[in-house]
Amino acid sequence: MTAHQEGDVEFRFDASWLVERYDTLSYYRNQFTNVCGSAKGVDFVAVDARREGAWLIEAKDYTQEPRDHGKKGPIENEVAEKTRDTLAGLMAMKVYGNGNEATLADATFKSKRLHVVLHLEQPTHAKRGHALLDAASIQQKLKLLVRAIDPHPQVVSTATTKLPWTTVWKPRPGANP
Amino acid sequence: MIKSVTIDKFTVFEHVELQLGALNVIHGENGAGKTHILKLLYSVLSAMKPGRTQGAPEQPTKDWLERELARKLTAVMRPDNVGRLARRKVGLNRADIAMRFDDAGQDISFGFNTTNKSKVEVSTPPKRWLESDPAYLPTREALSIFPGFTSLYETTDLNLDETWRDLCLLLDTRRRKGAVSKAVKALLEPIEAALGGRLQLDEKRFYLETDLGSIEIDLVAEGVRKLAMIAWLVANERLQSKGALFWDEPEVNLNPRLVKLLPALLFGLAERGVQVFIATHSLFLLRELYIYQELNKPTVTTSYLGLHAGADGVEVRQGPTLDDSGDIVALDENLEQSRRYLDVENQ
Repeated sequence: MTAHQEGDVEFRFDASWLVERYDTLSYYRNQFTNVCGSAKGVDFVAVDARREGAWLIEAKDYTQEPRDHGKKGPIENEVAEKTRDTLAGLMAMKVYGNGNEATLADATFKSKRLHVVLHLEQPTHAKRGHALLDAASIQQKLKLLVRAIDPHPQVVSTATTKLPWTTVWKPRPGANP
Repeated sequence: MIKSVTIDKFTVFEHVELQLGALNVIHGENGAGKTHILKLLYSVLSAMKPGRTQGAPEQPTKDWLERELARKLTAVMRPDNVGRLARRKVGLNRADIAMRFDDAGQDISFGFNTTNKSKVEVSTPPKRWLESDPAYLPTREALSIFPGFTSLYETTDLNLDETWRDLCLLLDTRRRKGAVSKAVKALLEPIEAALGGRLQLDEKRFYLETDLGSIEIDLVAEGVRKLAMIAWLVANERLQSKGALFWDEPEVNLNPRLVKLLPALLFGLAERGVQVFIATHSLFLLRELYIYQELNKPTVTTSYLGLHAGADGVEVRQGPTLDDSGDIVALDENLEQSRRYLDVENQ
């Protein structure tokens, strides 16, 4: 098993998968972020051992603080743009990336399907000052935005089962419970 | 069943081609032409099923259809005259409509100029009349205005379009005596359970028969009356195989609990051979249709038609799933409202 922490959520993938934190890869950070002025990236790119699917995963944790829409805009647009930019980045990474990066990019494009996933962690219940995002509407709009890439994008959380990886709520040391 | 329609220079449409299925769902902003499509198709089908109209020939003739199409379009859409339905521009303009059916012998095409007042020009007349009536349900119910409405409509200028009269004629048929077919029963049972009773026509007035006795239809909620209206058309079998149902904003006046009943009813009618057309603004209904389709896998063909403002008139994006039909205004507004709500709530 390989584990990656994002916010207060730990993502656990089978050891046979290729998984990278895309937005920490050196080619992305040092070369690609300035393409066309600014290129974004999703949090994880994960490819299963049989190359059945490549998963572009963006993780958002709003358990402590709600999203600031005024500053960040619609979340579905952010995920769609990051997905598009990540695919462009992976293409360049396949040619110019270092060993691990090129291997991941190559595996991505050899996969039979591309999957877009927004991992959206929110409080269990809304409360005054912290209302919840409407996951169904976000998924439906995301479907229209990334249809050419994945006709069935998913908005998931730690409560979601039936994903090929597991997620566990694991507060970082010092984080609010 | 109508297979496809080509519309040129008609009201808000410059040129659109509609590929149709057994169940057709039209969405788009106000003014995008949803009701125009429903009323255009209804008017043509109604002119092609002239059983109720005096003076129709045994078989379709060009001359009769040219007058009846103009009359029906004018009575249903209520322009000053049929020529005003051609897309507005400076100078002369010509609208053209071509409809293709499963039975090619029913194909029809016609057109008219802005100067036409009481006739259209039929270029392809159908070889046969249609077998079953189309039904047009407006956004509001008609059960409460039913008593005496048809004769009042014929004798008074009521400033209402002819779909109301046509609907009252269809409502004016009693249930057949004896047991209904299994298919009709399956459609009716969930609706009558939600209504808390079944509709009865006593002389010229509708009543809801409940366990507590009969209630005048005017005394029940408007949403219940609306659902009872379509239940009656199912029960009296005026919605028949090879017929068509046009329902403008079925969700209006229905609470969400009643809206949830619509997909089974709409798909059920389509499976019985009624070609169904609805126009909707409701994200709730669109999602209920999606959920029903995913869970029940109905065998009928569906067409989702999204009407969008284009550079030159309204354009249509369409396909067998909602995702094929482009942006959904109701979804965008839902998300936008959610964000405004969150901004206020999270201050």
